[in-house]
Amino acid sequence: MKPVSGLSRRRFIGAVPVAAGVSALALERAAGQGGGAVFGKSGLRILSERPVNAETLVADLDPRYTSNDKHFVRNNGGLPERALSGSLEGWSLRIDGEVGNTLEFSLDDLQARFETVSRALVLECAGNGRAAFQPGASGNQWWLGAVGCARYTGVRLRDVLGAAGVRDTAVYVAYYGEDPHLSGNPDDVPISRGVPLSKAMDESTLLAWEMNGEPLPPHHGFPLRIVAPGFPASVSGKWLRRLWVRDQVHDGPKMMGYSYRVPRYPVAPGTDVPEEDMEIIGPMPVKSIITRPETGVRHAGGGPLAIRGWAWAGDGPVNAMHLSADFGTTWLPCQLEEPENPFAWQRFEGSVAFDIPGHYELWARATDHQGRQQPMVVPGWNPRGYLNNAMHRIAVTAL
Amino acid sequence: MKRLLLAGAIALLPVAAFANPEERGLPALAAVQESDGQALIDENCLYCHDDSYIRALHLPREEWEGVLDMMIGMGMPPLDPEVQEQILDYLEEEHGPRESSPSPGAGASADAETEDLPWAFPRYRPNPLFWRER
Ligand code: HEC
Repeated sequence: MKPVSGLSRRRFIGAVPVAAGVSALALERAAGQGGGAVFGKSGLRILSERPVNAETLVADLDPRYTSNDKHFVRNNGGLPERALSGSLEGWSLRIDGEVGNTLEFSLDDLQARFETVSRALVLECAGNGRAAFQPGASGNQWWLGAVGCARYTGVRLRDVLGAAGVRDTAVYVAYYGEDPHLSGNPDDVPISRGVPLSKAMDESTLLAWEMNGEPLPPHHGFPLRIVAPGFPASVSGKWLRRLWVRDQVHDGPKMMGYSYRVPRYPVAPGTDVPEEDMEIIGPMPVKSIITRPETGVRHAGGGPLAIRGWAWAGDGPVNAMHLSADFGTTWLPCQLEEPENPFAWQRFEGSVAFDIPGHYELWARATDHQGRQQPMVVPGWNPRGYLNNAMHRIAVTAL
Repeated sequence: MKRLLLAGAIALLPVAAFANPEERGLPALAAVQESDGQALIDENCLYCHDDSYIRALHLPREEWEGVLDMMIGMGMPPLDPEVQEQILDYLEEEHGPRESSPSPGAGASADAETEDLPWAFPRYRPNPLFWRER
């Protein structure tokens, strides 16, 4: 699949009034006919246009904050009308279920009532790297770019839950968004997932209305989304309308069956795993990516080659970062910064010298706060191809 | 020898032209089957999503059957059994297992990625022990 550059924003915005009254889905379809344009996006690798699924090219992950036009998109349904119109008319967030008081907030209420915080947070699709599983797994064939780190601004979910008064019976917080199901049937819900109460109460889990200083872009959940970093990005519900505090593990669409679940024991590749042996994915494993240079680089001059990229983990910081240019025979430590805040990715920098000209592979390996390292091979085959945190490898020709 | 072959080719030409349905303004049989299958996909699948999910997969028939079952869970009305068979024939034919994957572990998209940059993707198989031809 080739990178497809998006329709220019100006041209697309120009097209919106003409299409006013047409469903958002139809608009998306029309946009797709331009050869893979996705509203507000450019230069992504488009995996599907309806629903929109697109990943960031590795080189575009180099900036500290993944830009709004480059951040990956994983949509399960269509785009709500509101996301394109930018209107807040009739919008509210309802919090109900196992709470003392059912509450309903406008965006202004949320902003006025709770402390506003900004955090750099990594979101990664649980299926990032799925394309590498053998035998293959159905679903979006993400390669490396279903991950990004943006600065989100919003309120802490726990402050909002606190205001509603979470009952002792609460165990899970589920979300419902405004995105229409692909079938067009208004009774169908494309996705409704959630997080265990402990993750909802984590001080880094936000209800965010801004991404990199701008209102949430259409594909990222305008006007409000959850950002629960470290967990599969599918728990970070977009286009939010309702939080349902539950007294059981949530059972909405894409919580059950094989969705976002892996076998609770290791299985041989290709195994038919019974549904009851699948368990919900929690924190994502340690991972890293080389963002400079790009794979295929031809390195002239004989001096050391500077390497840099990002490292992150789903339940704490990364403690060490290493590079190997000889298939893991020897490892060179890299410089690794402290995270800007919990769940922000961390810059690593290293350099590698090549004594003999020729073809090399560079491998990057992160080690998390508990000493767990990225595997060299694609780990733990599972039916839907989740959690591939194998080391990133790039090809280098030393001239 | 060359001359003989040439003569043979000339002799066969009118027959071949006659035998080829396309020469007579008829679509080839394979093309008819393909477009029927494609028409069924258009009609029964593509009102929900585009065909990228389908194109990305290369599965044996049983697994395609599993996908169709999964679609019922996604809101697709059950298919007429005859239509289902035709769709499965088409999927098996057009999106069956690939002969070989040049870069197992590198992923489906790696093949296309490397077309322009043949040296750009790491070539060493990460885990040949578990690789099996599909
Ligand atoms: C009622 C709507 C609907 C219809 C009709 C439908 N699908 Fe789907 N399909 C979905 C949804 C929803 C998904 C999941 C999308 C996602 O997760 O991004 C999906 C996903 C898929 C996938 C990817 C599977 C995976 O693991 O994610 C394949 C392959 C697929 N569909 C094939 C088909 C085929 C073939 C047909 C026609 C026989 C069909 N679909 C008809 C709604 C539909």
